[in-house]
Amino acid sequence: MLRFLIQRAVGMVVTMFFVSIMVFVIMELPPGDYADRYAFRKFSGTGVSVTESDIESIRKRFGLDRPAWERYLTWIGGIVTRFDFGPSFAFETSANAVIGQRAGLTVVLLLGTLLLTYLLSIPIGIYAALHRQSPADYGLTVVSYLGLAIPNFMLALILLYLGVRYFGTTVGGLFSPEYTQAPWSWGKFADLLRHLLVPAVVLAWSATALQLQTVRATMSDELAKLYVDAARARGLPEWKVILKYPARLAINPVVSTIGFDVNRIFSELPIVALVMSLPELGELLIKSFLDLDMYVAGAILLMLTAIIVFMNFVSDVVLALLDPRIRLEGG
Amino acid sequence: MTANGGALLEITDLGVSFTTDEGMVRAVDGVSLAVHPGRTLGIVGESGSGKSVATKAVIRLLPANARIDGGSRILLRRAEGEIDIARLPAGGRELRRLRGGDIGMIFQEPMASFSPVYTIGNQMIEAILAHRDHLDRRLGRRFDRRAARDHAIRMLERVGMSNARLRIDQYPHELSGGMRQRAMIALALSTHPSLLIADEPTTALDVTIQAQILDLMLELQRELGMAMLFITHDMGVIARIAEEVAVMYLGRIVERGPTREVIRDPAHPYTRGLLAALPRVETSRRRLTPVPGDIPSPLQRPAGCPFHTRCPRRMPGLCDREVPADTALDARRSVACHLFGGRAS
Repeated sequence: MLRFLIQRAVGMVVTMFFVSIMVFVIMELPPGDYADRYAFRKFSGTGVSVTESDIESIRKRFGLDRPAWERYLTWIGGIVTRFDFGPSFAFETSANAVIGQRAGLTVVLLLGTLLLTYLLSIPIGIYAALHRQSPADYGLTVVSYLGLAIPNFMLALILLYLGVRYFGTTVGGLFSPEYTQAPWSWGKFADLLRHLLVPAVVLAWSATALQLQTVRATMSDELAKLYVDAARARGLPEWKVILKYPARLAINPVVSTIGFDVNRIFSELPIVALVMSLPELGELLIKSFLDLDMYVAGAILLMLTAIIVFMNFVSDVVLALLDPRIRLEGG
Repeated sequence: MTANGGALLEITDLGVSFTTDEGMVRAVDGVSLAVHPGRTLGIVGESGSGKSVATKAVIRLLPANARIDGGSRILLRRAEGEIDIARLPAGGRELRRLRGGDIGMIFQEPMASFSPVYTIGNQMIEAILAHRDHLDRRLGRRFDRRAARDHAIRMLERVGMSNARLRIDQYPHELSGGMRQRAMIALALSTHPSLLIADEPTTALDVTIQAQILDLMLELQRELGMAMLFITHDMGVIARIAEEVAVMYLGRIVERGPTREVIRDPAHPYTRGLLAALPRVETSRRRLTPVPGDIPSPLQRPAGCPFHTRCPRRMPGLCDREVPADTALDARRSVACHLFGGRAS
């Protein structure tokens, strides 16, 4: 197991290395650099003519004149040694400061969504498999097709309306007005969770519908296997037979697709965030590309991919814990 | 019938039906049999003959769409008194104490009967601890987890597993097929059942390993004094392990008697067919002679004798109309065939 862990961890580091190079290449791709943009912004319309040498000096000031490999090394060195993602030109502060809160929110929302998805889909899927072709099973199938069919921005609007109309929560945002400026307290934390619940439900909706069907299908397959009857023939109580044997294998496909779920949540998040006016990373990413504020863009890209790579690692490890056959093959 | 008071297990008029999308399937139709303490009854028949269903009914391990007839009786005699397994509430405590306690079971596929995600030891210890009370009565000692583990190791050693202390912490896929079946036998016998049901335990194994497993089972049976209900489609295996045999065809027992006599002088045309289909070295025939035709679908049970569609000696007008009754040939043998019933009645 230890060997397996080390193997996967090394794999993760290697993947992140290549990802960082790719992110840097993407950062370099747009034509021009921030020196051009800075000069344009600062002096356009002022009548001052900007010469090549002026731009060159700006470039020097930002350190953009150095060769690409050198800038890559400085950049990645800063991240690895000081967790410093470089400067944000457009906001005239560090990329860390610009991303800070939004990154935290994204991570909290991601974990909340995943948790909600699995807490709902796994028990319900198992229940449906145990009661196949019962009214409850058919009902769940209909609900899960609805889940797959309703677009999530639509669901977000409906839930917002219901929230405001019947539960008196504020529309969107992270905090109720009274907590916006307040220092951190349990009250503020609870308020944050209340505001995150609706986006988490929206994001978890379709994933739950899909994973529920996966769990139901795998569980049905596992239930038909001989080892289940063998466990019954040993005289175990039915609940123990179900939970210890087939249920443990039925969650394998869910665990192995954690990475896909993370991916999907990241791609749906900007739309939901827009509808619910949540400050998150996607919107900032587009803005920073438009501004050629490349270190901010790079930090966001790197962070999102790092989360995906890390969640894949988590998925591998959990899978190995659940199924010894994977552990022993050594992957 | 077998009015034998000494039987450990006595099945009377067992009927099992399945409700399927295509209709009602009658898998077992009026089977009666008895298993005596310390002895082995072999049940032989093709796939679809109902032999597996009949034995699974003994520990009520039937799928949800199966129903046991109201008139069926499955009597088990224990020291504490006799119970009718057919009438026990499903999923109840009493039934769970029987399963794996008084009655052990091993299955055809040793690979599939262990869960792949737990060690052999985990699954054995679980069985031992589930039947603590039963073992307390039989061995007079109470097992805690540690003692259960030691007991499991001893059982693994007993079935001929080398390095049992190491093997107990291995996963099923780390063992060979033969070793897995040995482990399964160790698991089933670790609770010292008075009856072992073996559902084709050697079919999935190599011939040499098959012989080893059969020898092991005979040895353990002698040692532990348990009775066996042994299911197979292989007459050769039956000859080796069972004192008595019952031949099943399409949910009915067509012939029964001491194994030696049935093999030496089969009465029912179907039993003859089964024996003729066995390859023999001494005659070295080029071709085997299979029983002609296929077993009919249980959805369309033939009227009259179930075997008349394939029988070389059928009597038109009789065999396709009337169900032959069980006819005693001597004190221990009987056959359900009009060829013999004609003489008796």
